Amino acid sequence: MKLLVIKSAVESKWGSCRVISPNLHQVYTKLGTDYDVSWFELPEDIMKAELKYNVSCIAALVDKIATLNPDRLVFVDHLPPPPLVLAYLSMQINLKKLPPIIFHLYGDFTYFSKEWLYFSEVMQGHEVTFITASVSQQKLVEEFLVVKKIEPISNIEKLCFPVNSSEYFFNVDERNIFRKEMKISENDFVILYSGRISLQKNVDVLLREFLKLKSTSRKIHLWVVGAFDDVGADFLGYESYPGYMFSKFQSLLDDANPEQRSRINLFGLKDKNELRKIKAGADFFTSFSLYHDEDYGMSPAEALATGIKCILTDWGGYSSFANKDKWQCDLLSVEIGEFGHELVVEDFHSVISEVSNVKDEELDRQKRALAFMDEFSIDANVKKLKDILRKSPEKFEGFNWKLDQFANALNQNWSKSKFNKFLSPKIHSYYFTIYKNYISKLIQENSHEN
Amino acid sequence: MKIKEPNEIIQWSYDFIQSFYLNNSETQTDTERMYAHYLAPFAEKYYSPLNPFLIFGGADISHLMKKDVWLLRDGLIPLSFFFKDAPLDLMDGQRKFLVHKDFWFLIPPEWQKSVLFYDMIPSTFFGNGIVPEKMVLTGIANDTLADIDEFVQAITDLAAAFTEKEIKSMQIIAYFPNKRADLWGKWQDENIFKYAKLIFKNLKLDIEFPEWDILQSSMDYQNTLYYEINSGAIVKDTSVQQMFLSRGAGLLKKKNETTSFKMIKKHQISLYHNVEIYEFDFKNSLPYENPLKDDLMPYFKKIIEKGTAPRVLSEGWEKWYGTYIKKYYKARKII
Repeated sequence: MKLLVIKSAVESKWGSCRVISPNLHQVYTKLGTDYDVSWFELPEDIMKAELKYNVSCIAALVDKIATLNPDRLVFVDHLPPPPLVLAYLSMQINLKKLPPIIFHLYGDFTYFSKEWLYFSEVMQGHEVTFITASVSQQKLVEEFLVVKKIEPISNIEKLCFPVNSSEYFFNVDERNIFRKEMKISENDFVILYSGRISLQKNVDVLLREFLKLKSTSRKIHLWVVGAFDDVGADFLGYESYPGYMFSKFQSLLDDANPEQRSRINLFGLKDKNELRKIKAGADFFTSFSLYHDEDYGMSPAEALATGIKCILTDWGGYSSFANKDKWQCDLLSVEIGEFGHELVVEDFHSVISEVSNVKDEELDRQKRALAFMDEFSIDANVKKLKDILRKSPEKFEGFNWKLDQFANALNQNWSKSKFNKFLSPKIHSYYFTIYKNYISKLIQENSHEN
Repeated sequence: MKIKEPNEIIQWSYDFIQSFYLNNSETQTDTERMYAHYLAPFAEKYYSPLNPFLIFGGADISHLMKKDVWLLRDGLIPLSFFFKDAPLDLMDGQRKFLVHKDFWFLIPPEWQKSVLFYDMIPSTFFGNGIVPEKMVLTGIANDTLADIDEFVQAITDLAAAFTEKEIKSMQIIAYFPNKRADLWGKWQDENIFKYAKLIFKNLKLDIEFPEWDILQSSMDYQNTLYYEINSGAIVKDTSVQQMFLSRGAGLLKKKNETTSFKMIKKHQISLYHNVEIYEFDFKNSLPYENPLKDDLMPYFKKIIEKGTAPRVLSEGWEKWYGTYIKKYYKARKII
């Protein structure tokens, strides 16, 4: 099978995508001899570039498609936005003549709802496969698809964003050395969060709950790794200003007593080697994120690759990692209530008191790390991708009115930066209709009812 | 029976209201918006519990009455306006205005009890053999932040802080947005390459010039020297500096620190930098002199007080005043 894979010529601005893209590219390069994989690079800033430049690089893509005559066209990266590339392509080629198209969808699918609507108009009836990184994202995208048949939609597949096993693994020596450096005794218990420290990631809520933890026989620490950012919840119309998250975090730290303060460590941004050591040194990973495009969760995935136990919010892609047997990842209940998102933080306290009472053995941690990577490594995903490629692509029926409403609401937000009731988290609202798909408990209840 | 704890309700709208309110956006005047546009991205808003505020567009006094602490981000000219115009009601014994420590000489005696001074202190300083991997060089390539003489001075000072070999070893990134120089009068075409030539001549040829969104997208500026060419005439505490320092960048080590400042508080505003707050020993310093007492001032004041010349850009009096006050302080060797 001949594949033409279109990728971005430059690294993404998003930290997680800087990891996701090369890992996903590796899955394609490892497909083996049955697959003839060719690559085409597009500049990320195609939207801003001069028309002349666009014309020439799109013309080069048209040439490549004509010369190669691929069986599938694959958009592997999130930028430049694939529907926009197709819009440019449509100026030079009849889109209906393109081979079946595969899109890897990212959390920014909703950001580009307007562009995807255009795609819907021009590509209806074309053979298309959307690949999401999690079941939750799959359900969310399905919510926007036109359904004409009784059978389940088969345009959408799931392939996780893999973890690179040469970058994330468990090494007991790294753990011991790092804990020694940090002056953490063997009996101490370390809770870790790594990722952006942003409003919707609720790291401040985690800090508040940490400060409420009851004392146990083990000294409990909190390590936070990542940069503060103030993107706020612009998607919902909640604008923030640089420096706000740090001040909010700092005011909670100011309320902590000196003994509590001594058990909290903010590392700032770290590279992947340092991050692996920190993850190895910690005992438990958590994230309270309710981020609107948490379609996967690269940071928890990399933590689980080091065999760490964890609890994550039942939100978006995080539920992909839930497993109490092969590795230990629990979910923190989330609801969308009358006044916004609700977190059942009690779950966090009970899990911590349970887990911190059990000493983790090195061998168990190694086993968990390997079990996780059996499903989430690059190699494990090569086989899954082959299975997807073997399937005959279905015809795309188009996106429905819900995406149109979404695009309208979102575009109002960008221009005015003010509250958008339409996209505010509340039960029995439009937000609920779309984002209930991010709560696995609700998906399961729904599937039982059906 | 165990009582179930209530769920934690997450409402980001509270954060939105708090952040929005404290940044005074609702009071932004048209003039402030115009200045902010000219000075973008240097005069953009940022948040800290010290209520950073730019008064250059004309401060709303009733708004200033609402809080007990204001960190005035402005430079020489807006501050001199402020201390001339601001009603004494603002001094209620409790309210403090934080002014950048470079402008201690602008504070009239009646204001001295209500003013404290600040400086932004990063966790790293470079120079004297401490060499960064990267250097970010920025400013506005026209008279707005620094005129050509000030630009030359700033670049030669920077070059003098490192050896040729050290400069060669650094990755140098320069960002100088091209703006119309309306703040100092009618805009004229300007050959901005003269600024580039100065950078190449004093530093090296291998310099990158990325766009702002590229610079903004990186969260990691550790082991980076941030060097802003800014005389501080309009804005002193810039949001660009805040961004780089909060992502780990350091500054060039300062020379000739005056000893009349006593640090009374240090406030951490990012993982990597603090605001230090100082008292100033006015008694043992140069006596205050009103910069507006010059013979030409009655004419100038008349224009302002009559309101015949609204504070808009490109007005001749602004050009004149800007030049006047800068020269005045340069002559006194205070700046």
